[in-house]
Amino acid sequence: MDQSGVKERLAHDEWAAVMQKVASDQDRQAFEKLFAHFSPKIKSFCMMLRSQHTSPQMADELVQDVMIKVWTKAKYFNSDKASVSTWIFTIARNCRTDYLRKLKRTETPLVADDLWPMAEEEAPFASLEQHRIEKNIHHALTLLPPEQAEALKQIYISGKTHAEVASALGLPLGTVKSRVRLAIGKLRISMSEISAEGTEA
Amino acid sequence: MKQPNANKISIKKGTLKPSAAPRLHPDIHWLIDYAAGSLPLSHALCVSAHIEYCSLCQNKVRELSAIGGSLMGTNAVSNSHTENTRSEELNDANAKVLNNVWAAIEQGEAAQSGAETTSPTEHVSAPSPAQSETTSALPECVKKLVPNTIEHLNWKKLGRHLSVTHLASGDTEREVALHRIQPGRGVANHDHKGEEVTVVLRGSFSDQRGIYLPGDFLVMQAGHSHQPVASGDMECICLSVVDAPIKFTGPINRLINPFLKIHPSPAPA
Repeated sequence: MDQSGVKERLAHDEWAAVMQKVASDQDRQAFEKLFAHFSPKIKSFCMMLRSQHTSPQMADELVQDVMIKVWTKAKYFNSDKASVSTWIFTIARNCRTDYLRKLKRTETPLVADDLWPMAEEEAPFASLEQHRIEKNIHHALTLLPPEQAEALKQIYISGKTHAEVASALGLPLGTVKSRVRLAIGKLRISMSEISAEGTEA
Repeated sequence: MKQPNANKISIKKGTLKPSAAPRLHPDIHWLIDYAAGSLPLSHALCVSAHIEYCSLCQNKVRELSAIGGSLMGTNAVSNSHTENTRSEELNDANAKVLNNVWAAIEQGEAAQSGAETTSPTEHVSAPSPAQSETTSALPECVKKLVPNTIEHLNWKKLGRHLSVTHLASGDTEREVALHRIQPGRGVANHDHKGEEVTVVLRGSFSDQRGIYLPGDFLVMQAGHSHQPVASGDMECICLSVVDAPIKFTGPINRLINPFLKIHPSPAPA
């Protein structure tokens, strides 16, 4: 593992500890540390959304929504089930979905948390190795060929489906699908290898 | 990552959580779009319903979300230099957002201490006492679209053994419906004009291709024609999402086709 990978490992454990402080002690300083680290990530995630509504104001509002949820839901965070960045990603994804729905004035009884139940509720199939597995995705991501990494990023961050990403990139749908499938395959292999490594930490 | 699939086919009667794992799963690209949050509302509903039955896909979605968590950080390139300088200082704009966050949190906590009853999350599912057994066994996300009980929904007969009710999902481009087939009864042969996603929620049905059990996730392409029959012991309830109206192909059934127009949720004014 290279140095940046090691750094990421440390960073992940650190954030879980910070998150724990927010959850158990309602530690405001810890929360501001989370805010400083994650709000730019959330903001850029929101700015990458390919939508006519995307704007810095919208991104700031979403950062606000997400961070409020991080505080109010902190007690549900479980470092065995997800890393802090994954947990915040799921909150950001759900907030973004609800935000867009409000903009489009969609009348629906469904909120994002109904469709994407958060990991906190019940996770009968939770993997104990989850956060350890996630630490290594970062590393595996850096090893992907650029076109696969790009396709994957588009799929995850732009808010577009495979078909929409294909037309945005001017590529056949099959090409985007196979790039994403290859990328996901590699990442999942790296995850399962890690989970088979055993527990040395 | 290949996992041995529990392939027992036995359905516990009267419960929706099947003893057999679903055998038909959404394609990995569906799961990726679901984890990324880009699936249209009604398709996300189908995947969400499937996942309540399927531990295999639940785990896949967890892994796929973890990839999202990692990617969410990587595109924040412009901020990497601030992170390197140890103290992650906030610029003015961020400081303003942080102030707003604290203000909202304090407001929320003040309101909370006023009404000391529920959890701080805004959506608390209140279990309706009137829920029927069938209704309570539906996946959670589907229940959200059933205001009272499944029996109170406005069911329309589509032939002798099939009835349908449309659910107001909010998706303006697709029709979301529940279908009920009576035990042991069949539905007229029909084909699909647009893509149709079906998730078996209760009971089971079969067609020329095989038998479909609770949790099974089927995507039928336009032009696909089939003649489903519910299994003998219990009625079959399916969730379906269709892009365009289905078309009955039998000679008499063709007459009812004009009534089978798509009923997506009304578009907001």
